[in-house]
Amino acid sequence: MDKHVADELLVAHLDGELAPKDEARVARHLKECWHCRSRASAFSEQMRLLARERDAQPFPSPHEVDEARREFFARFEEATARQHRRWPWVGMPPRSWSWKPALALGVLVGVFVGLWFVPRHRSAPQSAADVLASIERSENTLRAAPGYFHQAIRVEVSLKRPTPLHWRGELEVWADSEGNRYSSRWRDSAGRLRYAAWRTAGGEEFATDATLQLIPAPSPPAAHRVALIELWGYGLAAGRIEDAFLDWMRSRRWQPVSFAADFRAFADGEGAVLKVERLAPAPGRPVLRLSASRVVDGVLVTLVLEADADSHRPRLEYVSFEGGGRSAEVRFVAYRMERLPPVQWLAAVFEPPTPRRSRRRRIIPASPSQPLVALKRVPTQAELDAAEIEVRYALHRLGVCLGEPVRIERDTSRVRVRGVVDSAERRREIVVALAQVEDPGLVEANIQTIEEALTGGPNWAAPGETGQSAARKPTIAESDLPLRNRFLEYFRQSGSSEPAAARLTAFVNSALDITAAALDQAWALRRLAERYPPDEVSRLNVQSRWLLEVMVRAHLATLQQKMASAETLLAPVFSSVAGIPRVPNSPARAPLSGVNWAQTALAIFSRVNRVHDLVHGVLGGGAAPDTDQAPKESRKVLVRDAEQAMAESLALMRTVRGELRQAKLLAAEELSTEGHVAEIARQTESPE
Amino acid sequence: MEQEEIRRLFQEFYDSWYASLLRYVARSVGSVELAKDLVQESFLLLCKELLNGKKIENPKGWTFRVVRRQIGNYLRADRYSGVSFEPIEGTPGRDAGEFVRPALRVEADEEPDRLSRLMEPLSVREREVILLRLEGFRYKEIAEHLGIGSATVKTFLARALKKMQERSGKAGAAAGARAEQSRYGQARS
Repeated sequence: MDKHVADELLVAHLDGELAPKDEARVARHLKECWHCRSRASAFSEQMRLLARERDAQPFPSPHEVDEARREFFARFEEATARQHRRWPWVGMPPRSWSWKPALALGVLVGVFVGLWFVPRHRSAPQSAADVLASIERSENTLRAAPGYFHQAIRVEVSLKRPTPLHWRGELEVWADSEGNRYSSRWRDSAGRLRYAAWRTAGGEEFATDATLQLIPAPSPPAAHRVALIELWGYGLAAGRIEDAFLDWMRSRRWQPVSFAADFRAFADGEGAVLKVERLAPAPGRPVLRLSASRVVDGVLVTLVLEADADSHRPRLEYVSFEGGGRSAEVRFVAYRMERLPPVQWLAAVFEPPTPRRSRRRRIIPASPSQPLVALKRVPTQAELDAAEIEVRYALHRLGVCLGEPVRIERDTSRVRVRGVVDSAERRREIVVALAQVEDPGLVEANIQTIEEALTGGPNWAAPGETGQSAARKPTIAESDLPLRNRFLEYFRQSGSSEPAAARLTAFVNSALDITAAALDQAWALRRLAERYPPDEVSRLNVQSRWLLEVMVRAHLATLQQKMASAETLLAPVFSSVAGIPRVPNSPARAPLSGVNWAQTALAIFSRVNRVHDLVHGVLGGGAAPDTDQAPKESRKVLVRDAEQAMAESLALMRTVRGELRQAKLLAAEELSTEGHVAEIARQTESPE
Repeated sequence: MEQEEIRRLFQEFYDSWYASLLRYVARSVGSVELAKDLVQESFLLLCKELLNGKKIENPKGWTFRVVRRQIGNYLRADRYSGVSFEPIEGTPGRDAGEFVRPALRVEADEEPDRLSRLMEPLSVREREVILLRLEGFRYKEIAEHLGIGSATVKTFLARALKKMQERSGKAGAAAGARAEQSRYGQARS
């Protein structure tokens, strides 16, 4: 594998700013290197976060821009008029005017210039045709500006007669200025996704079907563009409104919604009566309203278009129908109509979630428990295997595998992640991480917060997997500690200024913590070992095997570290208190506990589990009878048991030490992909 | 430049550039109103130059330089008039780059917004690069605007993102990756 990619290159790659040669190298490396991919995604996440924050403060508003523009041009006109007065003869070079002194004056100039002209408002009466042309121009300018064009339009339908009915939805459209890429989402009033369509840079067209599965986009239902007035033809009845809109949208053939074009198409029809008026509905926001009426098949259709009086940017369009005892109105409110910078992380919106291996796609579900949009075809076992490992790895990276009640399940079409987490923030982390697997379509996340789980809904906590955390952090009643006096004696002897009782408490707490943490690691290891016995491992592809190896090695290394600290902490105390002869710190003879890493890991788990129980039994107290009041006999038993437990736990820890070393070797041997680097290289070179 | 041409140029400025520039300036001086004045003023200066027949190759770059200088003047003027802006390094210098930028407050008594807070750990240069990048400028444009090389833009950008990741602690993933790399990296690469 190549060297990892430097931060600068990764960032430049995300921004599409690399020279072709570097770009190819980085792209190739990213394909085969999970580490760099995750760094890249951290960068793009960071950039997205910043962009979101920037957008959270939408200034200047279009209105402010227009105000500045108007003020500027007022001054401009005045200055040019004056210039003509000053130099009426043509061809005379004007006196050069140095800006440097003006700059030195800084803000003062601004004040001076500010007093220079009195802003004038443009309010010449305009004809309806002029206004329409100017609205068209403003719309076109916005759409043709470099970058991405983004529209968010609220659609409101209200039927007045015969049966009153209100219905709402939201349409969001992105399009690039070259007119190639396009993407739209259609959501109902509850914000649920109902329809989505994509047209990629390569001209491929995708859409979702009624069940939100991804399909190649069907050709539009009508050869011509469905006009707004044709919505009437659908009857605008409850069940048909959505169909009507989908047809209307599809027939636009990958074009953003153009209010002006709609209006012109309608107004150019026969017998249209056109009107323009200037309104001031809210202070400071005058509006130009264009309206056109026609009688179509006995129905009076009125189309109204409202635009900002200054920028001529369209804001609202509505069409009303009146006739035959029926009356309805359909409103389109454009609440976002903007140009976004052509940045890489916005480009993802044009990419449908298909599992083409050569490209990485992400779709973050609208709400965490919503299944990710998926391909219709059934994925192969191999694809699911790969996705599952990626899911495990993503959860591993977040530390979810250390005892959080999140379960990974498989069926024939999906990898399902279910569970309960502490907070919505944690859920967001998990969902975002899951959305970044190679093919999010194969993953379904159903994560609840504790609150949600408590207020009903299925509880996905997996008791078998979380049982171990129940014993966490027992309250320590020191009087319950068998051999308390002997422990105190030990701490008194190993002189220190702190009182022996306080040191004993600290010792007990850290011993309990360390063994509990070790057990968490052992559980994680056990789950991997049970899920991936040797025959499963052999089915995995190189990438997956590498991820598995990373996880196994991480758990083994942490476990080793935890057990080592546990031993360092416990061995001197236990051997002294229980009178166990100190075993020289030679490496324990490793008994052969398994022929492969998985078996060894399972053996390790049972020993760590036992150590945990023994240590918690001795130190955690719990049910131990009060030593002073218990009969002499049972106290003896208790003391003997505690001594045995300490001896056993020390012996076990030595054994585990050897086993861990062995497991590491076996895992390296069985899982290592070192020999497969050539294979990876070949896979990534070959066309996919 | 013909009047018609100048008119078109400024129309385009307002269509596609004004908002970005304004946001950048507002974040630099910490006030939307002041930013409006500064930008408008620099547009008027450019317009005057063009009307006077001066040839300006890259009007955007020219305007941007003027704006930055004005930001510098403003911050310096404020500094000497008693409002304290700590110089980042060295002595008070010639341009805006050497002053700490105040955080943007839309209303005078508001808390700085989240973007300002996110950018707290950044140096002035890193902040400028990030802001321009957020406005959708290409590296070449940023480099021209700030008078640095394209490679430096890359470095600043990466460093800034890194710093913010570390600050926000959201670098969980990245940090995890680093730890893993240091643990297994040697054996692997």
